Amino acid sequence: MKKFKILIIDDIQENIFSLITILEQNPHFELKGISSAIKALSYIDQQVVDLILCDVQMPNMDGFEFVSIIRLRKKTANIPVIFVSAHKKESAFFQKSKELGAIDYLVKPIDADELVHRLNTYHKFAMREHEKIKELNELNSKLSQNNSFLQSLEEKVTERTRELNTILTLSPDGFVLVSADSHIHYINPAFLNMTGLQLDKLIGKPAEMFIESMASLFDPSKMVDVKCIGEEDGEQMVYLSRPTALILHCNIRTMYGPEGEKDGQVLYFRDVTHEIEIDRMKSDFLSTAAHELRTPLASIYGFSELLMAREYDKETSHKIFDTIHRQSLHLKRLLDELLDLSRIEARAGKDFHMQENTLQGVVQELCTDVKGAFSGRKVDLQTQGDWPLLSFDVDKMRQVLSNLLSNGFKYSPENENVILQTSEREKNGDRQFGVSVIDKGIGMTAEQLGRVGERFYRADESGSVPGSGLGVSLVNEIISIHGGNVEFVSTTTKGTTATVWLPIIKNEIKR
Amino acid sequence: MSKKIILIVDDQGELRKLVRMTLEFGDYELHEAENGQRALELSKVIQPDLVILDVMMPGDINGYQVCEKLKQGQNEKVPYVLLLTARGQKSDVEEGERVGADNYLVKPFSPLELIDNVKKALE
Repeated sequence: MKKFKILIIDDIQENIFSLITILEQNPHFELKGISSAIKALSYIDQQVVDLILCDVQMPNMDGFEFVSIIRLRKKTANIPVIFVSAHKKESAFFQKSKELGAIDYLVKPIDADELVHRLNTYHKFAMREHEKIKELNELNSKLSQNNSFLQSLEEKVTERTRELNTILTLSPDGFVLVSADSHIHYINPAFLNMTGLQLDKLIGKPAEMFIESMASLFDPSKMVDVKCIGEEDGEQMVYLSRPTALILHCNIRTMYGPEGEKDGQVLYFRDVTHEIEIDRMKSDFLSTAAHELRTPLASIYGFSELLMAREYDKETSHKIFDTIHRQSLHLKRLLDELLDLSRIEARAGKDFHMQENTLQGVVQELCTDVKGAFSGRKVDLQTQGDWPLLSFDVDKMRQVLSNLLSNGFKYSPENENVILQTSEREKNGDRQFGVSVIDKGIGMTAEQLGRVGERFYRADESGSVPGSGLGVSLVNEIISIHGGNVEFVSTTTKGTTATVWLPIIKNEIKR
Repeated sequence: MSKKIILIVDDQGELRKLVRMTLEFGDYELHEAENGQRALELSKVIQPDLVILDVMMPGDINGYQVCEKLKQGQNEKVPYVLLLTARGQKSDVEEGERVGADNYLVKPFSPLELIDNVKKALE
């Protein structure tokens, strides 16, 4: 065991000698005597001392001065000091010694037993303190190890939280987290976008309030039960009518803690409105397409069977052949346009050859030479202003205009010309160039007008005017890919005006 | 015995013509209507024995609805109803049965089969 080192400072050698003699009784003590405070200063600078027994009255530097100096130095500031004085316990001395932090103040002549007893006690305390400090240090180092572990854990948690937050913020799907005590803990921006609900009105609020807020948005015709929040896991469709009509697929999952206890829920909302609408449109389209294809097929099949089964005179059989031929053509046209439409839709304009030009060439070509079924019919071209520069696919625009022109011819008397008119306008700050196809034909009712562009819709229900009911759909599709729009104005018995509007890139002086 | 009266209902002129030409050789009185509304009006006047009815027609009243009205007895005599449908799915057949149709043919149909069906219907 390490010895307890006591330094004795006294200018009188005999005093040092007698103190050493007394204290030698304790084998744990290591004793050193120094006869001046100045020498003692340099000694404690180099050596480790556990306690100082210091005489007060000394020449050059007295005990008080000595102690006040060692208190200033870090290495020696905490060494316990016991003053020894020839004076009685004068209050001034006693006061001074207390100020200097002395642990005791002894008055000469010294009682040997008492001195030994006191120093033994200090020694015991010092040892105990030493042990305690050692323990504390060990504890401290353990704690700091724990701390750095905790710190690294905290960093990991922060990083993970940041990652999760970024993902949840970017997600187009809605997330709502419900805490174990059924309060709303987190809502991501996508969910707020879907529902138009406000974050601060829901965060920290009970789940019932959240359910109420949601229920206020429900489509009244398709109420659903959302009691499952706070209960079981499950999936269901949620139909919102506010702020916009949406169909959400809601998935509820319970989170579990380490002991398997319920630790809140995640509510996951995916907007499936578009998917469901597309599915519905697809199946509607297919069933209508099948119906439309069966109708000409029924004619072809039926009339040809009649021809085989019966004898008809030449004139009648010629008429039947004519019908079969016409219906085959109709079937072909239907298939062509169906394929065209689906190709344009699927490619979304990727195979369009967009060029910057004016429409002058295409329009003039169509006006001077009416081809196909309506050859011989006339188009009056009326231009207003210049031909501005547009971006378009020549073949597709020819298809659009000839489609509209043949509609014009189809629904107007043979002796009436169709007018093709150009114009310009400004819409939402953009300049647009318009080409109108104006006929003085049968026109359409408001109801018919509203359904123009609906696939397979035929304003003519008699079937006497050939057509697939896909022409305007095709025109709409092509023009929307060009960034333009198509408008119809019509009055029954007065005629119809169909106008194609395309964005102008630059006005070019060209007549 | 007077001629049996048949009403042909289809929005497509070509198909009405096909049915007419198919049945012309029989001893029938043939009438045509191009939509559901017209079919109901005309059938009150002509009191048909058989209605050959297209299911999908534009306008407010489709073939099923015409059939239902006829079977509910809007006329003095309830006609035999033969549905002409472009769709042969189970759900369509069930809907036809629900509204009381007696038989149905799926487009494209065989004229000879139509003749057989009409003969059976009018026996």
